[in-house]
Amino acid sequence: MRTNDLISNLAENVTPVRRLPPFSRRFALFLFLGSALGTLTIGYFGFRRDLALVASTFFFQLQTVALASLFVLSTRLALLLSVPGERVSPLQQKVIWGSLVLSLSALVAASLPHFSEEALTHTLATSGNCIRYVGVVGLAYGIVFLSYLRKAAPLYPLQTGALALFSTGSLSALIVHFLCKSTAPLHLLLGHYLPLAVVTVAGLVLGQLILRSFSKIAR
Amino acid sequence: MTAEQELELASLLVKAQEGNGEAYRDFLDRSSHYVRRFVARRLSPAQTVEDVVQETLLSLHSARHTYVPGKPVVPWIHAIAQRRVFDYLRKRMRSTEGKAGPSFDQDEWQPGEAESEATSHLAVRDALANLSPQQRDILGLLKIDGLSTREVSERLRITEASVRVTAHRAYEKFKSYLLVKHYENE
Repeated sequence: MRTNDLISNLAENVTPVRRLPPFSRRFALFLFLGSALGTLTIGYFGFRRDLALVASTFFFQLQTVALASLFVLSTRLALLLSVPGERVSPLQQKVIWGSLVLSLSALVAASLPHFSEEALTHTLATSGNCIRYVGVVGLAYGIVFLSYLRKAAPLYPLQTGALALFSTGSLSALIVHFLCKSTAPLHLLLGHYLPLAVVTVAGLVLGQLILRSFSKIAR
Repeated sequence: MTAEQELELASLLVKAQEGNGEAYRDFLDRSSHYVRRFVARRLSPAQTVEDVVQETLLSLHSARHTYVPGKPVVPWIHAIAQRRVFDYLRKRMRSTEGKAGPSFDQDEWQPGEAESEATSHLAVRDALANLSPQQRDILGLLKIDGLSTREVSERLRITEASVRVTAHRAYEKFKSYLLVKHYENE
């Protein structure tokens, strides 16, 4: 087919389209959704029992701010990347992946001295609630987010999907931070990070399939 | 493209989003000239350029709802065209690898077809410098001196399999270096 024929064909069959809302509105929508999901989950399961004690500690506040910032940043980047022509700073992406690697390395390093078969069995047996929290929040938010991103035109499906899942992961971690009082490294690793990793890997595969459809349309 | 032309192009796209066929035809027609120039600087021959232009136009069509009125339209078109060029190069690399199989000698990939002779020369020199001495020697003996795998193995006193493996790795490294440089230059 000649290019002129293609142009005529596309122009003849053009229909009005519903424009994608401006970035600020999409961003606000997902911040609102994240907050609503957090409120609902915490409202349903209840705050951790020692919240009054730990809320004023520096470590708790630091963790809360870090998780909230990561959630906001990764949501912003995923939404930006889903639209052609929007620029995304490589530094911001490095902050996200760097923090993931750092926190995981710190947890693995802290878990190693306590690692034994008995500790592993005990931790897995007592981490059921956290696995459920992370799984439910992660799946609910992740599916909504990926489906929404699909409505745009992500030119880089893997990168966009990974950021969307990072946003989901940091939201789940933030919510679980208010639900679970355990600070044992092995519990954090197996009860919080492991289900997140499972959700993320599942989401990456799903995200690739869901978001790649834009590229397929174009071929 | 001047600022005035860009504004005009943006207003045509906004009308096209509302379903105006004439404005859309005009938009696609003008965009195709811009896209063709962009693609032709990166790819050749003409038939390939036209194929990628058409794929870009189809992508513009699929993504037309993502353009936000008031935003610059050229970066939006540019990002889509750039992605299509990248997709084409990736597809070509994959199909070349598929045809070539494990044998290094059969690979016919020609890096930087559309680049000027001087730029290509510098890029090839840098890519060669990026290889290890052994990889460089084997690549030189195979590709420049035209020796067979057996002759290279006898000359360097290593096994034929080792020559093949090293040559394959050298070639992969060489190819990815050129590809990365190609994108950095854009």
